[in-house]
Amino acid sequence: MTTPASRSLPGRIGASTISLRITALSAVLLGALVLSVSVMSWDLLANQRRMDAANERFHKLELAANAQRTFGELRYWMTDLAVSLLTLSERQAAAARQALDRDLARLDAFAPDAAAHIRSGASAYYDLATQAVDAYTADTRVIGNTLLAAARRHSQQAEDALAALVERLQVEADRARDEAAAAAHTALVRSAVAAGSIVIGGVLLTLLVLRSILTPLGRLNLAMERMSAGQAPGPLPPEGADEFGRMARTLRMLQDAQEARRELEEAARRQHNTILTAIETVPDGFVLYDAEDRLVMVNARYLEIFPLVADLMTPGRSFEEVLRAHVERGAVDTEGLSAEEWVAERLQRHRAGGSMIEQRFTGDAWIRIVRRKTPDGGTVGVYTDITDLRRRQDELEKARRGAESANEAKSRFLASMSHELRTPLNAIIGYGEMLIEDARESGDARTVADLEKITGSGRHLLGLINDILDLSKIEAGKMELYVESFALRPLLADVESTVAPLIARNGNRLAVEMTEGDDAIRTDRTKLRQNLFNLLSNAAKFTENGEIRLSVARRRVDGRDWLDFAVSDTGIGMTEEQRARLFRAFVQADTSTSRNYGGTGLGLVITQSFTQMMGGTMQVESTPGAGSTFRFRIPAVCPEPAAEEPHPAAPGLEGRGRVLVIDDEALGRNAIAGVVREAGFAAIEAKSGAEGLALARAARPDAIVLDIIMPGQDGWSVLREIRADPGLHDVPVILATVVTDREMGLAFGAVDHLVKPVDPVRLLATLEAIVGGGRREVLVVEDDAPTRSLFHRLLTREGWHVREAADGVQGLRELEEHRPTLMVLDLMMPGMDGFQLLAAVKQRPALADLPVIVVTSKDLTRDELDWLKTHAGEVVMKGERGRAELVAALKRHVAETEAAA
Amino acid sequence: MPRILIVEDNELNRDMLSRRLERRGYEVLCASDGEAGVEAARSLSPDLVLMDMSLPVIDGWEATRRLKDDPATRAIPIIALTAHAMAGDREKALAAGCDEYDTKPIVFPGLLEKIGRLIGG
Repeated sequence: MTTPASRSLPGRIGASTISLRITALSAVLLGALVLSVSVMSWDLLANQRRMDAANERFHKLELAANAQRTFGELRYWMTDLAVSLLTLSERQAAAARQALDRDLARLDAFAPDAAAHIRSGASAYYDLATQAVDAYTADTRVIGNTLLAAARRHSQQAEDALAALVERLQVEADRARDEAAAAAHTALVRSAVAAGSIVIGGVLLTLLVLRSILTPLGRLNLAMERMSAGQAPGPLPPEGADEFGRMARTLRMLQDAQEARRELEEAARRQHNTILTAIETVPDGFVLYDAEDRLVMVNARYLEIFPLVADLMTPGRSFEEVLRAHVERGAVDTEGLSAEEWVAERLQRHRAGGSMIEQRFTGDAWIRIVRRKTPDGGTVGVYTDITDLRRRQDELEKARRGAESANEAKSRFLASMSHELRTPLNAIIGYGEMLIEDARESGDARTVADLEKITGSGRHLLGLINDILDLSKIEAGKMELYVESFALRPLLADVESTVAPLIARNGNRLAVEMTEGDDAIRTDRTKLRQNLFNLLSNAAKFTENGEIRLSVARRRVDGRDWLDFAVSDTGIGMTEEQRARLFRAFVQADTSTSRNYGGTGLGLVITQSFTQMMGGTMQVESTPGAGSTFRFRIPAVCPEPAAEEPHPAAPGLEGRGRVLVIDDEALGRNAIAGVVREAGFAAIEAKSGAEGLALARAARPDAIVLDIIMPGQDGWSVLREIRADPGLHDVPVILATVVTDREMGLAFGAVDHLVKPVDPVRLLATLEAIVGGGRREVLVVEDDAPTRSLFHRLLTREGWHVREAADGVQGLRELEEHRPTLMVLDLMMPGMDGFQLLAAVKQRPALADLPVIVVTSKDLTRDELDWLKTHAGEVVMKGERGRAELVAALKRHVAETEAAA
Repeated sequence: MPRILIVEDNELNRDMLSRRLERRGYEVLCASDGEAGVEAARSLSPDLVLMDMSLPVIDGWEATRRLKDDPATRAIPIIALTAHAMAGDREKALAAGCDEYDTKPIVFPGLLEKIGRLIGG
């Protein structure tokens, strides 16, 4: 496309390349030069010719003039001869006659007619004159004179011819000369004009070309100057085909690149500022040292925390210098170390990186210092003010000690109260019974009935007191287990006879049935008896004119010898809601229940606690209006309770791994150790933090259960030391504490945080997850290899033995080969997908109840979700939260499997 | 006629228990503290001792130990009576040398059964 400008000359110049421009300019100038030189040479040649012609004419004129002069001499000498008759004159005349002949011969070449005419005239003259001379010699004067006169006539004729010839030649020569001069003048003028035009044209053209080069060059130069000064480059030459166009394009690209870089730099600067602002905003002190331990940056909070060294915190300052300043300015409590030792210790920690310490600074401020190495060898330090946390911990510790002593006092009070309450009841019931005997003897039936009400109420009151006492003992952890060997049948008979009156009261019948089998058992007789009594009296209380059935069965499950007890009634039953509240202390199924049926509602709570103490579990089934069945299962041979003193694990008991329990309270420790041993782990007990650390180093347990609040070295400090010890840092630690700061515990590297009193199921689930490896197997069915390997790592870390399958068909084969504990299933797979696999699994009786966790990134429809709800245990979406959710789901399923076992 | 020594500081309980036992045909002797109990057992040689555990002067545990340490009284069966009903009392009582254990308030037929078993009456 051409613009009007590009069609004009400068436009055309601008459109061509510079070399073309220069070449064209040189060509034009050279051409003009050659042309003008040629024309001038031609002019010179023509002038030369004209000059030659003019010279020719003058030469002819000269010849003619010579002939005229020679003829004149001839006449002179002839006249002289005629007068003198001298021989000399005669010779002279003859010479003139010869010269004239020569001259005339020359004239013949260009004027033959004139020459002939002159010759004839001259000849006639000469002849006549000669005759006249002869006459004079002959002294015939008259003849001589006549002859001479005739000769003079001929001489005139020749003379005139000669004059005419000279005249003619003179005119011709003059004309030729004039012509040559005029032509030379014309050529001069023409040359001057040509030279002038060439010079002017050349200058103009040169200027034009120069301008076409210099203008864009100037613009480019200006643009480059502005760009290097960081300004906008201003107008650039158009991006034509010439060098400037290309240069402009390059420059524009450069400008664009520069612009892009400026934008990137701006973005980077903004990001940098954002990070700086964020670092400034964090409530913790932040400091960054480079790989040479020189300060890179520090935030304002750090300076607030350490005002004494704030002036030193300039970039480039060495960490050691800052440390020394801390000591020298008294900003830090060196805990008895000398300044040098303290600095050396700190430096070492700093260089090791990845440390966490709690340090006391002046003014009782406690700072937790966490250091981490950056990938490029620098060190990041985060300083958190934990003064409040420390204070809270101290307060908590005080509160715990207070609570402990209050609990002690409560226990003492309960013990004495039980005595004080029972003693008068003893008298009430005892005298009542005596009076009943008396009244019976005297046949006073009305009195007997009244007295029975007194003793009955007394016994009821006694029962309540016993329940409350039992429960308080259970809650205080003071209820202990007394395992003895005895026969089951007599115990059942005893219970049967004891509850018989209660059963009979509401018109109920009691059926006791026991499967055939070994009668000898070993457990806590009193508690088992009380359990049965509680359940039976409960059943009797809520049933009228119905049947109460106690069934006992001894069976082996999972290689262990179990006793299953079931008490069922045909009573009022319970709703789901009531059932949920059943085992919570001081909450009866219905507040109206105690009014209608009496009792504290503690019986079931106590029964459940006793069952758990005996190593068993309890369950309830109920249909409102149709009755309830309470079942509990205990080991036929109850494991011996843990001894009071800590003891290292016995060899041979380490099949499932060693668990170190660190707790200063014997009760809490024993309870946890008991649960741990029960589950088949070897338990090691330590009474203090220091002992725990020593045992941990000696025995290197597979897991540690750690109390936080302990006298001397507390749990946080123990946890820290464990984490810092290269031999122990990877031992999983479970916190078991009354402190509920779960986040802090997990932040300090604990794998779980259990609140006391510890829930055995949860403790075991956690333990199983981290050390029970090998027993639990999970099958991961997932087609995406990276995801599969991610799950593998994740699950292995959670203590699972992982098997993998890449699609549904392989998954089903794996399942049929060996049933895992759990399956983690992707839905979208080639071949047999997750839905098909699930359907296939449900059709196989051996796999139908396999727990399945579906992990998917698929957007599920309502129908699919509903289908999955009935076919899979849980659906977890992949994504950010997916990993945590998967782990949580796994843990839930572990707990469920555990509860079902 | 079997003789039973009741060592019990609570007067009501002592009275009630002695009267009920007498009705069953036992001869009942009484002492109201540990030391008196030990003395009575030595001097009166009862066929059985019902020993309350929380007693003034010396408690039932100590009194039992003394009786069981003394060859003269070692053979006398002792039934420990306690209102504590704390777990461990039973073991503690048996460890102290008691032959039987019962908690207050007493279920009288049960106590009679235990007495009968120990003295064959």
